[in-house]
Amino acid sequence: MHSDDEQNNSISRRRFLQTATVAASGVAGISAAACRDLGIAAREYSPLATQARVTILHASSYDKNLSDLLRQGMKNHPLNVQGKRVVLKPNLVEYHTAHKINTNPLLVAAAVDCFKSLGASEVIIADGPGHQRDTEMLLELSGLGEVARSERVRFVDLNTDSIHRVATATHLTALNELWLPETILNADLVVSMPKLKTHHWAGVTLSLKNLFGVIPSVRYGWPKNVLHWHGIDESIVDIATTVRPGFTIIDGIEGMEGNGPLHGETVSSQVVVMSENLAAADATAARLMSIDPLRVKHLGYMRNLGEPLAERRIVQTGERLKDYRREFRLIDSFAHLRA
Amino acid sequence: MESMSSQSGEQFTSSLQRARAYLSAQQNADGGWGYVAGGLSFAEPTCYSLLALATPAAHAPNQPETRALKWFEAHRNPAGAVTFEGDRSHPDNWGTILACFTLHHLNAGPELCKHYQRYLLASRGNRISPQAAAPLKLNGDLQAWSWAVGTASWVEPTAYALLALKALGLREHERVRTGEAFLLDRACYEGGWNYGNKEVLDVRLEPMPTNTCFALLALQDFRRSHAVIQKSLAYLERELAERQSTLTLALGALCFDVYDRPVDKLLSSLTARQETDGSWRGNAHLTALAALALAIAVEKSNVFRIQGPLS
Repeated sequence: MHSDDEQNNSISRRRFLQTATVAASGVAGISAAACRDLGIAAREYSPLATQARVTILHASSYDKNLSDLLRQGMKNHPLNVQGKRVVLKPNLVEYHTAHKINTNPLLVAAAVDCFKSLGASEVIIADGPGHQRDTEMLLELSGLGEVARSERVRFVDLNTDSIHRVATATHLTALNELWLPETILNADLVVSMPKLKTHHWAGVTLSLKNLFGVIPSVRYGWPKNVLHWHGIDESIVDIATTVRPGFTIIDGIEGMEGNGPLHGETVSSQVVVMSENLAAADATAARLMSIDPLRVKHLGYMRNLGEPLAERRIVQTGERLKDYRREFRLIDSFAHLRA
Repeated sequence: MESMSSQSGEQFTSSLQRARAYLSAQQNADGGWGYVAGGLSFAEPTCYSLLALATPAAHAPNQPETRALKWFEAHRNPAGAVTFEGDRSHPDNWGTILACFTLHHLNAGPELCKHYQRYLLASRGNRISPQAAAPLKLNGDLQAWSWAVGTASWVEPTAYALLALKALGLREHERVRTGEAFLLDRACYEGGWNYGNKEVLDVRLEPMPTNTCFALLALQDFRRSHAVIQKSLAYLERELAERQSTLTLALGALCFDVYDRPVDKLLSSLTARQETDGSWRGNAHLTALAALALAIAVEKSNVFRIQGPLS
């Protein structure tokens, strides 16, 4: 299904980021008019594929052997991570005993194990929490610190990492450039690992919105308020097209509905979603929540950029979507997203 | 502060010395400090490292300070603000506020400090429209200080600004009054502060210890019987009894000390977390804050204590 070029594209980030700001390949799938509407230079962004493969896996709980499950799912996504540096970017936001907010650390541990077994030379867990400056506290309360220790991998606080300027690949915001952490820029493969959640400002928070966490707070603040003033959905797209992670693993074993990302209610949705294409994975995840992905503003932008969001452009593997579709509660301001 | 056993005293002294040795060794060639060894220099770890290395007995600038002043000189834009490495076009808004506080405290770089003070007084967070402020139940007209230019005001940079302006003797300045009103407006209902939202979409948000410490430090000369102050101190006591980190222990000690509460237990917990290289988590920012907390016991000094009569 995927050409060699497409596979290479997802694991040659350093080369991509080195060249993305000075030159660019031609754009497939974006009309000039659409580009003008989006205010982007047509040659600056090339979608990964005209078609994407998304895998839905069943997991009834976090007690299962998730490493085996992920390895099984990876058979549908033949990434070559041999000798590569893989950075896992979970969703680590805040910790409250009453709400399941963060990507479950057991799934992160399984991903570490999975990528190590696939031959990665180094696996790093990294995030830059947007509200909480006390990352040490957050790591301990969430259980992610214990995972890093037991799996013997580094955790990097992206909020205070060394940073470098990168021109944005798209220009939906007026930012035009982003300062990105060295750990992200030096990765061969960045894996977005969000939780399946609704979001009170963006409708949903999935693989793409999760990338707010790679934006360093030392430069953008706690919260990363610069992104809010430039437009949340527009910022999501500019970050995603610039950082361009090569893979996503969405934690939908327990999701969150209603007033997410912090104060919603837990939904036992019992799925893990995987793909090389973050926009396609998010479209599938939205459908699992009975949300029309094309009504989500930032996903609509991604569709206009040529990303394969339509069901006919997504090759669905693993479990059947219709068997796992749940009607996630939406707050009134996002009732229009209902599929 | 309460009396300290000689064993604790020796432990704190040794811990402080090792922390300072670590920080001295971590100064980058450009004169600044990164958060982690060899990392890019930023204003925050540079400011705190400088403050932590300054001893009360010293009357002349130490070598790290002289080198750090060169970093500040090299990272200044025409508006007088600190800038980020490799980018003179965007000021480091909160870094400039911290630098103002730091250089004034150290009585160093007087010309730079004047520039920073002017910048600080001119800098203000964006006004928030009534439409945007409504679901947050906040007063959007209160323009205090933001992390980055062109964004809203938040608790921590506002606390830094108040500490700097009060240290500069500008307690009666209208910006200080606005900053204090901002902090009171953003306090959580049950006391304490988080980053700066007390409510979102009818959900009352919870406070966070680090923001609470900074806000309480900034309001230390405010009426101590004020309900917000009392509730916030009570929250912080509860929080530190339940869960601790390097940051909360260090900031908790610095905060409780200015409110005349005992800190020895916090300092003992802090020293127990020190690593063999003298650091806390290999992080200059955390190590410097821990050193500043230990200086309370060892040198009877608290960098955040505002001099002069309190309300």
